Amino acid sequence: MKGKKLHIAVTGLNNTDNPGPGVPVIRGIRDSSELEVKIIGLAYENLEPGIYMPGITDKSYLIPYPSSGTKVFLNRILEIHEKEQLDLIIPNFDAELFTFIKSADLLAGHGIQTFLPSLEQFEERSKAKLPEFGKKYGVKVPDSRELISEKEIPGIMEEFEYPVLVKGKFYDAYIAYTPDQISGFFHKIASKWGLPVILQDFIKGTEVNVVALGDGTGRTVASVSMRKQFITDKGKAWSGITIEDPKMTEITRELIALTKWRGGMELEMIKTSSSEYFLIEINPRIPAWVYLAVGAGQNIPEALVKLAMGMDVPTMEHYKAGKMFIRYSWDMLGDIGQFEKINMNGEL
Amino acid sequence: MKIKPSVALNDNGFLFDPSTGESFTTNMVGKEIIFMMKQRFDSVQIRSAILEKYDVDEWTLEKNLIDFYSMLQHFNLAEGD
Repeated sequence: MKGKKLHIAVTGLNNTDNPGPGVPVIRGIRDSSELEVKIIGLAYENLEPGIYMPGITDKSYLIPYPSSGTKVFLNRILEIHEKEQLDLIIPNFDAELFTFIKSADLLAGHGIQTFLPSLEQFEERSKAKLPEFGKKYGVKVPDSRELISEKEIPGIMEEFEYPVLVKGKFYDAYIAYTPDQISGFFHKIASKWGLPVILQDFIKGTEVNVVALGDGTGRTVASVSMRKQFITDKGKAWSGITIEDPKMTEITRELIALTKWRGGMELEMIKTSSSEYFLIEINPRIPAWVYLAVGAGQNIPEALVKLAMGMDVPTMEHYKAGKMFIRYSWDMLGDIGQFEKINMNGEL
Repeated sequence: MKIKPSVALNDNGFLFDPSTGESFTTNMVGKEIIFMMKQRFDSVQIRSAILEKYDVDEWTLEKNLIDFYSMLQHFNLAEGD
């Protein structure tokens, strides 16, 4: 049963080797038998593949990076809203979430819904604050320290053993085996994502992830666990398989109950050979592998849309273990006219 | 020793552990042994069944069964004594 056509704007259309979640989020929404939608893609770059992929967006617009200033950013969103009468925006980048969370009330005043964590929820799970988060909510996390300057490396390394992980505050993580490597990664990450850079204990084990959706009252609406089967040199899952791991589900449900998380989230964990679970990161949004969850039986993007629009969504208890995804590259052909339109008019 | 109840085994000898996402392959004899373990056969019953069906001496079978059981435990597919 389909109701009013919803106009949904989605970011993260960069379906590259470091993919944004926009395209799989849209695929999930389009798979819904209950939602009738018009999808408006919001892109930061003119070559984001999702702009050009057939059947993904109905219309795409270029938007400025949030770093260009909140006013400039919001003016562009509202300009697009005037043309498209947006009902909902689903932001999919860590780096834009702060701006969207801060602007949620303003957007709601214009009739645009979001379904995001609160600023407090967003900030307390940041990589730099992970040790405090672990202590507060009783989950095991690897020891980590913020690195503001290269000069701090020798002092901090007295408390760590090699190898260590050097991580950016939003993205990127490298394993370092020597002080020189830490220094090199520190500069590389700081120039791209800013400070602080995070130094983290390297936990040996299997990388397992959970995609989950909290409704803001403490209820876990959906939760699907996955083991990475193949990881790219950028640390991204190129292949993964759903697993049935009651402990991971329990950790997820407890965290969502305690934090009253609102929105999509990804928990990144390491399972050690002695079956201990270390939470290494919480991404405050739907991850790029979410279409695996859709295929396994939990359409999280659809559920997020419904929650954002005030509809009832029953708790999804089950999914199929053993569902796999394998990413692939595909040379899509376009026309210079498309490129011209997105460049000249900022829309396609 | 018991095979973990969640471990799935198909006719081709392909094993899948849904709790870890790991998959394994075994030959036809291994498949028969795991199938018997799933049917709750004990190690004596399994040994007798294999001895009866295949041309193998007791010593070779015993050695191979010990190897096979330890491999199942190593890969966390079986639990118990």
